[in-house]
Amino acid sequence: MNDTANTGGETLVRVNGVTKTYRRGGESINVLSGLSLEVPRGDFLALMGPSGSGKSTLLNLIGGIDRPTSGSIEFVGQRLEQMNESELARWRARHAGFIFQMHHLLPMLSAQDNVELPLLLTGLSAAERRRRAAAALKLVGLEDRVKHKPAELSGGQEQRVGIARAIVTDPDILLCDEPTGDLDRKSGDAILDLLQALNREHGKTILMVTHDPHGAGRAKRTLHFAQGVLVTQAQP
Amino acid sequence: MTTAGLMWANLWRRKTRTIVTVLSIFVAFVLFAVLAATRQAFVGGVDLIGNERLLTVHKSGLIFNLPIAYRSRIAKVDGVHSVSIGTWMQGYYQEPKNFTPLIAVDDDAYYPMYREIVVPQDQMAAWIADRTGAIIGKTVAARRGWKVGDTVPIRSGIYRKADGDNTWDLKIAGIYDVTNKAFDTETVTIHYEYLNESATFGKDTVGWFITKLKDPSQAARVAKDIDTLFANSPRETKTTSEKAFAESFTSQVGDVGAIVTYVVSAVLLSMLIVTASTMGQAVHERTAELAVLKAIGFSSQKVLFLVLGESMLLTLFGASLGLGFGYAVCRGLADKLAQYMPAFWFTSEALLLGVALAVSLGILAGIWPAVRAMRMRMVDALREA
Repeated sequence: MNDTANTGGETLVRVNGVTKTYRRGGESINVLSGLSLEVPRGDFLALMGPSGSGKSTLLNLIGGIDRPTSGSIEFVGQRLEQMNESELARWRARHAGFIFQMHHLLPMLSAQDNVELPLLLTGLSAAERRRRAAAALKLVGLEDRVKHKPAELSGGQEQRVGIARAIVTDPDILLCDEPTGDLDRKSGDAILDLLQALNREHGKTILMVTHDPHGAGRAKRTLHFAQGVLVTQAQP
Repeated sequence: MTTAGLMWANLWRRKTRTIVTVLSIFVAFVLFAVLAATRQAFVGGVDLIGNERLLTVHKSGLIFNLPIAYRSRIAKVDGVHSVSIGTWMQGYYQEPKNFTPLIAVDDDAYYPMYREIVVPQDQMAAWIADRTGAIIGKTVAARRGWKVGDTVPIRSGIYRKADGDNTWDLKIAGIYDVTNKAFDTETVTIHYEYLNESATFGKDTVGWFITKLKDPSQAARVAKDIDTLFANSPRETKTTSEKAFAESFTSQVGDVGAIVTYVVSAVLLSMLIVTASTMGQAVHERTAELAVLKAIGFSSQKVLFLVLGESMLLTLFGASLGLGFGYAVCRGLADKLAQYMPAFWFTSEALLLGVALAVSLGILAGIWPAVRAMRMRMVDALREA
């Protein structure tokens, strides 16, 4: 089943007949099989499905950190699979923000410095980088934790820093790979509140991989995957 | 946060490991500085000696003297500007362990011939006027606390006076300095006439002749002509440039330059292994973080640059501390060793070589981990994390 429905806005991402095959040992594993999908700007899409169903792979392909075996991925008309490594890196820096389950903050850097990292790739002055990082941390409610290192923060706060890092460059799309998977319910809810606010109030397009139906319920749409194909979609 | 700040912060992720590595590099470069100064002491000074002077010694070696009458014959050789003389007296102060180079020279040609040696005019005039006067180097003067006007007893290990005493009471007429570090400031020079009149043997003979050339490019021809003059005589000569003489003298203690180079190479190779191991571990531990950097837009080249920069920062930091401390050590040792190794010093060329070695060490130690980080597939790294 392919998803051709949209919410009526500008199409931000168009996935056309994407197949992704991995080779493990001598065996070929089809993770995605001819998937097509459109993601309108401003959408908040939850991707659900069992492990190995291809949802994280799809996220990686849309985020330009992996390449499809066949098919195409368009981002506002730009073909990601046709870009070389440097072009893809530039594209990611400009258009995509990643939020990981394990947040992967650099432990020796303060929250402020971690958030500033993506801004090192811009031509902004040091003062402007600091200002934007502070603004991002304020947006996620951590303005009083800017000097704290990851080890001095709770899991939820670390994930908030990860979100601040993802949004500091004001990307078009946020790609979240189980952002609440490592958090307790309360912290997870706070992160979901934040993502919802980023979607509703700041117009961020969000793709979120999750195993949690409660989390998926915060999205505008939910896509269910099984064995590399899209099986159902739901709109709460 | 800056890119350099990120590299620096990464370095201190494992403080103990970084401190141990920096200490190892520090020690290696202190050793490098001291060995470079040692090499300089043995071979470096030779490079600073010009070719405008020739030395003529007895063909059988420096311990045999030559007749002073040779001087006028050498002076007539085509291309010779002037001729001076020198005789080694092997001096010491009070006890043989207080070695004090003592040579007898003529007072009309020797100092004018060595523009590298500077003696105040009034002191030079005082020396010429005083038969038992001496001109001494500033280092020996400083070490012994001797000053102009003092009379000092210097003993000769070779020459005795007519009364059988080997002590030569010398009145210090002047103190010399040098403009070229190849020359020592330890020597005591006295009038050849004083030696010749007072010594019990070796009258009218000298240890060597120094010939200043009109044209240094004629050195080989003039040297050959001088030696031809005395060929088949009872006292044949061997004439070489001062530089060649110094080189042959240096080679008698072995190829110090090569030995030092081998030792430094071995030390730096060890450092390469230590630093490469540190960088390898550092990158391995940060696989996921490096993948995240790539995911947020750092290009593969930028990641390569980050790891290489970190490796160079590590080696340059350790090397800077080591070279700085090594320089201080060499300065301290230079005074203590001036008597034996006057050219012992850490040159600016050696410093530049040290910096270049530190950069090379950083690149070599970091290149493989950096390439691994550059080639790392983000998806695999994130999945493994």
